[in-house]
Amino acid sequence: MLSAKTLSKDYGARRALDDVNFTVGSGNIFCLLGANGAGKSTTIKLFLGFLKPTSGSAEVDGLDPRQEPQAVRRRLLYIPENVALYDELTGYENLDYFARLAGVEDRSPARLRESLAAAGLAADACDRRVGHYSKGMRQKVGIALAIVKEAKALLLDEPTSGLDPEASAEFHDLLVRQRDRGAAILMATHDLFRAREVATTIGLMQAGRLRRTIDAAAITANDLESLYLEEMGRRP
Amino acid sequence: MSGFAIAGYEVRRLVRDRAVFVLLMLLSGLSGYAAWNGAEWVQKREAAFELIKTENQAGLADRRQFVVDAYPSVLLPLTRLVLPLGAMAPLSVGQADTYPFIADPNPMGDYSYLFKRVWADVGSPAVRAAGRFDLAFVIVFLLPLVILAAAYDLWSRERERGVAAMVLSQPIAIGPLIAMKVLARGLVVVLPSTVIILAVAVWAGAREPIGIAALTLIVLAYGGFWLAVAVIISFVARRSTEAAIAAGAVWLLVVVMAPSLSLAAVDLVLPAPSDMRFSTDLKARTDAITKRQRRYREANPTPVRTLAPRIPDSLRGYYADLVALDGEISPMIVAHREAKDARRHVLDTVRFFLPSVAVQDALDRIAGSDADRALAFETQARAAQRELRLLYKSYLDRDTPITPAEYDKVPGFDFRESGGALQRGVLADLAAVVIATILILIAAHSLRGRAAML
Repeated sequence: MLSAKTLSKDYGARRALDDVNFTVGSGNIFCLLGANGAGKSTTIKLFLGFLKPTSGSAEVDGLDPRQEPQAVRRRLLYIPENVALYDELTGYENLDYFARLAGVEDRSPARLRESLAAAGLAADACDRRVGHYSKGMRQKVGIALAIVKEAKALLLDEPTSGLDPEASAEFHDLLVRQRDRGAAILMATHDLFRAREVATTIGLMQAGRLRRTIDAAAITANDLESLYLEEMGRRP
Repeated sequence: MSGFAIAGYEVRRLVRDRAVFVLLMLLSGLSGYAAWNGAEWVQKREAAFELIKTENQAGLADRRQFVVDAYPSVLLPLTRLVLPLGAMAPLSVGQADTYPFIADPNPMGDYSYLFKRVWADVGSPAVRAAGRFDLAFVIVFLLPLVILAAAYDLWSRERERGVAAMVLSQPIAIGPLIAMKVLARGLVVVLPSTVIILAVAVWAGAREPIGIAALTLIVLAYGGFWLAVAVIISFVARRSTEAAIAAGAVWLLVVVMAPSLSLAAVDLVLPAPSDMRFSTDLKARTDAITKRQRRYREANPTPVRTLAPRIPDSLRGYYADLVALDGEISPMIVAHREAKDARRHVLDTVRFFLPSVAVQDALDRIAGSDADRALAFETQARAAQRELRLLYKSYLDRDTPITPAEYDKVPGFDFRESGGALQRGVLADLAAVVIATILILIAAHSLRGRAAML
């Protein structure tokens, strides 16, 4: 579903992403781990078509986001670190608005409210303005959109940063449910332990390079931490 | 997705944002005060006209009595002519205070006599310099601020807060999305602003239907221009603070600085001919000619006729001297007028490049307080004076004093309007604003890729 082929991106003279290759199939979660500036967010923005690759390609379901942006975005859902919504609208209204933008045909109130409930948003919160929402509640609206949109792929950019452990665990449960319904998930994160728990594959990035790809099921948390620190200690 | 659904949600957001409500309330208050100012100015003018009407009636009656008594002279019915107020006068004082609006068409008066006794209202120089706080001022200066305040960050704010990334990750093109956001602001800000302005204009006494229609078109077009400016600012500025600074700078440039700088540039190329110097030179020349004519008359007195005429020959001599005087000073007048016309022509052209000036000009024309109308009054008053002079001459030639019946039949003066509220000048101003808006929208369209860069 998601495929990076010799993907590189330069910002002026600086190489932000260097010859990155990976694929994320349906029903898989690929976690990108790495320090700030490692190239995780750049990778996600290339899949979204917000950036143009310097060389190589980022494909979604075999489609180039720069050539066919509408078709690609119909298949994707993007959840940034801070899910930014319209503060003046309620959670329900935001979901309806973004579902309309996404071209979702079945936007019946019942379905939208079911999706919000499935994402873990309390019923009484749905009709409150988002300006009063916590970060976790906003993330839930984002997940509800993924449910309504039936997105084939989710791009998550450090979605659990700043969430309390309970909210973080709840969020990862929601991710697993998305994975189980067949979505391909690419998640950039700093949370090694959660990554090992939910991921199918883990990629360690450093200075724009994908240093290592690891089968999450075949590694312990301690080994992952050691590998991570070893890779991060490398000089570019 | 239906574009109207986007616009609908935008409208909902704007309505819930109290800032728009506060802005519209502020505009209502300022428009109300401006309209009251305009109405008061109209009342003062109407009071002055009423006084003139009373004086005219008294003067006509007095002169008629002399006619009835067969006084041996040519006594024509003389009244002071007035430039009537336009039907939309409370809208804009415009140029009305800087041009004469009352004239004395004495057939035996010289060139300067027509406006000698009644010149324009001078009033406070400070008020003259700053312009009056009328509805035109609110439209030209303050309406853009209201629109910019509601729309300057229509996209930059979303980019700054990250909503743009959420929006653009959906299958929607940025062009239609922005168009719907603009439409929403048009509905929530520009349309209510237009209604407020129209309502206070009608309240102040501006009630001509065509004038109201023209005013509506101008306000909507000007509002559209500033919405287009807000779009381009929002595309270029990445942060709301940058957008706010840019919006303030563009307002200052378009509304305040560009008109002043353009005027300064025109002054540099085509300096304004001095009316003061012209008047002084004209007076000196007239005095010199009059003295020469007087010396000639003293040296060459009119021979006394054996059969005394009913109208004294001295009047014929005076008439001949007046015609000769006009002939001599005519080149000075023509040269001065040509210099002024050339400058006005350039300024008229420059306004098409400055939307704020074009809108001010259109509002003046709709209100009937524009320079063209004032100059048309001067032209018609001079024509009326010439006609009276020819009538005067006919009585001198016939040596017959005017009879009461003839006195009563002399036609009065009615100012002939050369165009209504939707005259060519207004349409040209409207076209200039619309073209400027289209050009800005084309520029914004070419920058849409930049707006999508997050």
